[in-house]
Amino acid sequence: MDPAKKKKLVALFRAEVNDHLGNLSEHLLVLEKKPATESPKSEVEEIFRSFHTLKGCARALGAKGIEVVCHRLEEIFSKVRSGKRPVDPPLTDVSLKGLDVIRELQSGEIEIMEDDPRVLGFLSHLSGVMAAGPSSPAPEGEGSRSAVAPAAQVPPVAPEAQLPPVSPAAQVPVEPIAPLAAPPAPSPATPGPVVHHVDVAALAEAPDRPAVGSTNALSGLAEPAPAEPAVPSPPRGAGPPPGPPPAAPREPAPPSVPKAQETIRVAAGKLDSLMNRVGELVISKIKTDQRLQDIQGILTAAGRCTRAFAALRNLAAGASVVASREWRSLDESLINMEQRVTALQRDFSADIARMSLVSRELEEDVRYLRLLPFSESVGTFHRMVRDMARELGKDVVLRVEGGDTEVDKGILEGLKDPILHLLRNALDHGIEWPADRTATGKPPEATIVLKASQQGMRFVVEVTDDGRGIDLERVRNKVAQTGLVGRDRLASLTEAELIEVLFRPGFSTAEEVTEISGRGVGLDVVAERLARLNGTVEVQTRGGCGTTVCLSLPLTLITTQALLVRCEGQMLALPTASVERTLELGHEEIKTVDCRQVVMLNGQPILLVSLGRVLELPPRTRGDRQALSILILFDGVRRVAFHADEIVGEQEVVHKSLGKQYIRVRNIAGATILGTGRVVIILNPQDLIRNALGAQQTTLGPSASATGPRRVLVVEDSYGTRTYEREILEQAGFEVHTAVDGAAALEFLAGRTVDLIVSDVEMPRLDGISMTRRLREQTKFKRLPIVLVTHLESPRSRQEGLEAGADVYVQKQEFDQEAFIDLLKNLSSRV
Amino acid sequence: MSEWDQILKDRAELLAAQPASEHLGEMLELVSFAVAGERYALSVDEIREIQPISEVTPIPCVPRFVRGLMNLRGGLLTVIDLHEFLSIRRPGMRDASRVIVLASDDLEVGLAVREVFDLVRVAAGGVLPPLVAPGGIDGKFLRGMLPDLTLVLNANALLGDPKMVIDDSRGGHARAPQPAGGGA
Repeated sequence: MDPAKKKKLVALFRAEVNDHLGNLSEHLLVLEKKPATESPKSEVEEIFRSFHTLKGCARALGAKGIEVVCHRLEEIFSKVRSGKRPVDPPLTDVSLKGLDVIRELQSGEIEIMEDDPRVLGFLSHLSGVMAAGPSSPAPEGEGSRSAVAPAAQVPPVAPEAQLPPVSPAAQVPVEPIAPLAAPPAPSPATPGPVVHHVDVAALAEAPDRPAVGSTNALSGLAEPAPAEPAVPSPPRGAGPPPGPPPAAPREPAPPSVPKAQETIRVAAGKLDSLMNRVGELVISKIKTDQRLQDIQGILTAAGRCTRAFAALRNLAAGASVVASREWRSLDESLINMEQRVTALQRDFSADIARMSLVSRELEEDVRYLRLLPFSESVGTFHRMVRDMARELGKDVVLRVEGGDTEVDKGILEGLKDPILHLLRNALDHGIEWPADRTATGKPPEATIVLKASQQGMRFVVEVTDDGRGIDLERVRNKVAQTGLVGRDRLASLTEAELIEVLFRPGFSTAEEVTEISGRGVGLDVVAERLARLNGTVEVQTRGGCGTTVCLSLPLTLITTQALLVRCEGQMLALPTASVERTLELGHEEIKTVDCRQVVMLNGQPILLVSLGRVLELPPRTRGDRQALSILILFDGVRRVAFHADEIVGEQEVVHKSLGKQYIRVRNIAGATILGTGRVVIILNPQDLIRNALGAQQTTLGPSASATGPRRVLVVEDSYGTRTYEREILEQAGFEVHTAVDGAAALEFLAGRTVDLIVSDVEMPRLDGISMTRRLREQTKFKRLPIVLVTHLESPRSRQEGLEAGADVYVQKQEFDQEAFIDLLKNLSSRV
Repeated sequence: MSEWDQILKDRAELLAAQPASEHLGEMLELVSFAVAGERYALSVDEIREIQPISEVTPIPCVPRFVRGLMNLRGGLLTVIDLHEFLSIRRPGMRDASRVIVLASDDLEVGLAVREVFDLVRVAAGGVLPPLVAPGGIDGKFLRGMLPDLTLVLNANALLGDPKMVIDDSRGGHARAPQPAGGGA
């Protein structure tokens, strides 16, 4: 075969194998959980069919190893189908093991022969299990574990049973395969011949229909299998249409099994490129609207021409020129032109209307192309929970709800690890041993609910266990050990704060490191992953009753509902989901607590920082706005208020990554292109919150300014005080200018600006209060921080000073140098 | 063979021999352009396309040489100030009119340039070694210099420079603001 073609086929094969493996593992787990009273027929049928199809594909590509494994498993399920073998844990174990082997085989060179040690190892293990016979009410944990354990090594082979003894020379796998290639060898005597009929049918089909459609080959299967009355065999012989697959007419599949949909495999990159093209189309469409306006302009001009010409005719009435051929021709041309432009405008506008409709629909469709049902990813979770529960000796059932909720493929992939992590946490820490559960009155079997739902434009996954909940006192002790928080604060840590600690890197409450979790990679990893997907994590725990971890993400990675904000003159976007609320506040509503600026929300102080400062944007001159636009960001744990120039509005934006060379940029999540073609940066709220809280500490440190030293103007008539103040302010890192009184200060400020004024009250020529009042009259000084310092112990002048517009009124008696400096730093960095 | 044929043949041979007679034979096709007042050139093969510059949106928290993002046919193109990148004093962005798009497997950037001149063909031997002066452009970014002092840049070295990859994940979240011109 042409190698390129072969390569393509192999890629297709791999994709298909993976689909089947997912499908198989899901059905195996459903089958295992099914109570004995319910008929397992549909699952068994499905499993049987999947192995059969896989076998056909593998054969078509010469993947002998996979073929043999599939064949043997198919054979076993044929027995199950005919009621010759019950479904029991060893059977599930060995089948799952088989899936692992297939997965491993297909990942490497495809043409692995049946004598590959992995294949041989599995086959002899399989014979061992099958020889042991059904685990007649096997002691749950024990029996099954012993069946799992030897899988790693090649187990000792049970000699008797249906299969010939396995010798190291490995005729075993070869022997049952041999008849496959040859014409049907009727072997009615041996058990398990049923399959052979099938294989022949499949063999005939395989070359032209390697993949999906071998169901009609299967439909014949029902006949030789004796104990199969429930499977209605489709009407035979009539026509070429193969009829529905045998499973179809039966009772609806349990909800956890997704319905098969007709699908086409497309590389995600192609979808992205399609998305880009659609974006361009939308932008072109907007430009076309502009063209329509241009035509409107031409039409107006044409109208003016005809009117002017008509007026000219009146003026020239009787003149010979009016009768000339040229005149008539011009007259006709003008009328003609106006008519044609009118028609053009009408048609063009109808075309645009149609085009906008189509492009809008197209845009919508493309956006939703990448959505997949949540159930696509749950196979791994079932498997993991099952394996781990067995390993730990806990009894756990995983229930999936909302499997049909659709979400972007990228999100689904990105969520896999966080969810696995949360499940592991729940299994290891949350869920108690069966005995402990019984002791506390809980059913011995624990339940983990994995629930997906769409809430507005958010995709929400909740992982809820009914275990013991998070032991907050243990967290507190752990905090004490690690010294994350000072002892004095320890006792007062609230529940929310303790939960927040769980998200700190390297924090784990596991007493010892186990294989499963507790390696110090904790919830911080989950939070980090979620942040990358624009999502948030929330933890609720009910002591003794369990824990719920709620992951909330946008429905699609491509489009995000975003709030557009102007900050230091630049337009920026923030995912709306992380913006808890927006406020417009007057300057007087900003309070200073512990030298930090805060806003009060429902009686709680929230740290207020400048968005521009966190983003390290160069500050611009401030406009004359009375109110501050404030956004409160919330990441599920922490809240920070940011102020910006203006909140522009909200819209749905297409999320794009910045480019391949940007591995990670602090505070930035990506970018988008607005309908106008303009590029806008999308911010990362989690980073903003973290960096705002981090930066806050340095704000109080010695040199904290992002934009060079802050300039302060000291207005003071006493030479001694002036010098003293200059000294302490310079020491604190300010650039200090001085003026001898209010009038001198006004002169100084006529030509320059400062970030802060510290002024005496009692001064010759112009006192501090009058100076403040005069400055506040000018728009450019409306928001300049002014601190009045005085020795006057008079309530009247304090009142007067604040009314004049001073921000702070300090009395020299209460002068604490350090607090004063902090205050000044905060004021000067404000806005 | 007629006399005419002989003449034509000689002429053809002469023409064919022309390139060989000039230094070392191999010819380079270069696109010359200006960034601020300086003249540079890049090999045609290294250039993906040249486009008029459109509005460039700055990205916060990235090194200064990254001037921002531009909308290129519905995709995002990172626009680089060559002079900031090479630590040359005169910023190259102010009067930029075009972007020269360079791409490797890993990344794609647009150099902001003031003006793009003609395609020039020079013999490989006509490229002089660059003048490497202390405080000047790091020699690794240069292929050489043309007699008219045009600097021939090495696009692979520019694109392959570790500075081009921006990754804050190590060192985490900047507590203190980066010094101006940071990114080293």
